[in-house]
Amino acid sequence: MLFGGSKRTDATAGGKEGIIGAMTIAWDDAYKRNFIMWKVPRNIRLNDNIVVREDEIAVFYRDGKVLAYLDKPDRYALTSQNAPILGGLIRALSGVKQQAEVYYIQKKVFDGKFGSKQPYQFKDKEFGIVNLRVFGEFRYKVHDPVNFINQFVGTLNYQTSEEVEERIKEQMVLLVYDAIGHLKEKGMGVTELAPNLTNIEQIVLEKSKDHFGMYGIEINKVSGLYINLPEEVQKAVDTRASMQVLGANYLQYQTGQAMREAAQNPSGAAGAGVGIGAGIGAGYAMIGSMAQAAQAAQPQQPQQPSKACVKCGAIIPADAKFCPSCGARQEKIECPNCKASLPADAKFCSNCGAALGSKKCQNCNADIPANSKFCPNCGKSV
Amino acid sequence: MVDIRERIEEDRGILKKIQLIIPGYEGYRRREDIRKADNLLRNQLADKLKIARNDIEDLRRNLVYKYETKNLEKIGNLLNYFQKIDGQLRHAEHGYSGISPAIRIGEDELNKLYEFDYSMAKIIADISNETAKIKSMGEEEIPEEIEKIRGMLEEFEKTFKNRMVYITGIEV
Repeated sequence: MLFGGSKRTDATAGGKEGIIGAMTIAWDDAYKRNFIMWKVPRNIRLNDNIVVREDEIAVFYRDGKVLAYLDKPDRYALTSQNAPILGGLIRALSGVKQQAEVYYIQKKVFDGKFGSKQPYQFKDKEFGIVNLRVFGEFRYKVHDPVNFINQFVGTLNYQTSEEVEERIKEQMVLLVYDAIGHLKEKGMGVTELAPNLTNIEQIVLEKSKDHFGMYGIEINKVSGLYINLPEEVQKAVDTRASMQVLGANYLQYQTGQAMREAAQNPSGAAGAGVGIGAGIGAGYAMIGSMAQAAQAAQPQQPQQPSKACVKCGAIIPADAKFCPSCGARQEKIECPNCKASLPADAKFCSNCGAALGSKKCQNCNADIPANSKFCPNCGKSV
Repeated sequence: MVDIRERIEEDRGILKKIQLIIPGYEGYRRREDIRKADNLLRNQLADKLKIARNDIEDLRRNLVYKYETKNLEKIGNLLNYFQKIDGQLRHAEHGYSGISPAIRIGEDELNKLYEFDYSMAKIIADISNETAKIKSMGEEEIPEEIEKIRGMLEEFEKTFKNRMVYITGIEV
């Protein structure tokens, strides 16, 4: 090189240096994966050419000031005082060298996932306090390059999409909780959350502008939003929906269920003493037994020793090992979270909503509830 | 209104002027400049469409802060449609053809392409007029207006998608 053109300082900058040390710089695709931004790792010289592609923005800083956003695809020649003779002269006289930098930022949309670490306690009119967990996906992109560089690179030194997403995730969960809270105030119950998921997505999208605009990030889309109801609540919701479809009240519904179970499982407790095909008889037997159970609840009549089923609450003989009504094993376990006493086969704690039993996340190895679809720790699907 | 092609011609620097006198390079230079003008024009159109989209976003904002969820899903879908067309406009084909193409795209075709894209500004203005109205509408009127705007966007998309076919004159 004639004028002291030094060797390339970074393997990702494409092209070769000219005789005055200028070169054509482009962000090589091979180095883009998972990186949301890249700072050209050399001081920009006079007539360095920057190639900006359709999916990129370049920001040109000179002496700390933003001189240009190069957001249209093209090749741009940049000016600085770092020319071979002029730059050397200025440096020799004043002892200072002009700082000229270029940051590349990807314009493309990135995908991330979020999931709640702590449950949200939703106070429902019908079901009382229900613990909700939310999971979902979001798409984001850099909306304002300067804010993004200042907030993420200048303040936090983040460059990878993973680091940026880490910042976004928790805020997204809070936004969903905020939306649910406001909808609750407007009278929405826990059972109405599912049909309103797309509306909640829209609320979160709109509100995300206020939260992420200052970071230079725009949340482009929220999708796959999933609000996880505790199993007991879900079951109750399903039961109620079935009852509505059948136009039955709870007693009629339970009787029908018992008849079906008896017909399907003649050897079970519900069908004891009743042969196959004697479903209707079993139904009457069940009505009778339910009536007896109701009578058993009346204190004035002498009763044989009885207890309440650990699962459905039906009054059953004290020595029964299984509930004749719901078939639940009459043993209890303790919730590891709140120490509440629970049926042996419960999957969730009816008191605090904690999942009973756990599995390991394949990504971060964290202990997660057995029925989770996303890891609450790292957000990856399991 | 400014013709971007003329502006690009006026602003040719010394390097481009030299290219214009190199035999065999002149045509390339001219075509390249028209493509650039068309690209700038399409970006302007997309920016105008974005202003129209902002009206819809304002409407969503109003509803979200009142927690009126009735029309939110429809509005969200309309905004997604706006985004889709924005991408199509900004990244549309520039009008390149190969060394020995079956259908050549010369300077005349590129000029037609520019004029075609320019004519799309009228449709975008109509869409903007509609989106400006929606902000002041009541909850009951919104769905109908959304459908109207959606219809206009569909028409725009259909016309714009066929631009190269119209320009090259090979529509059957």
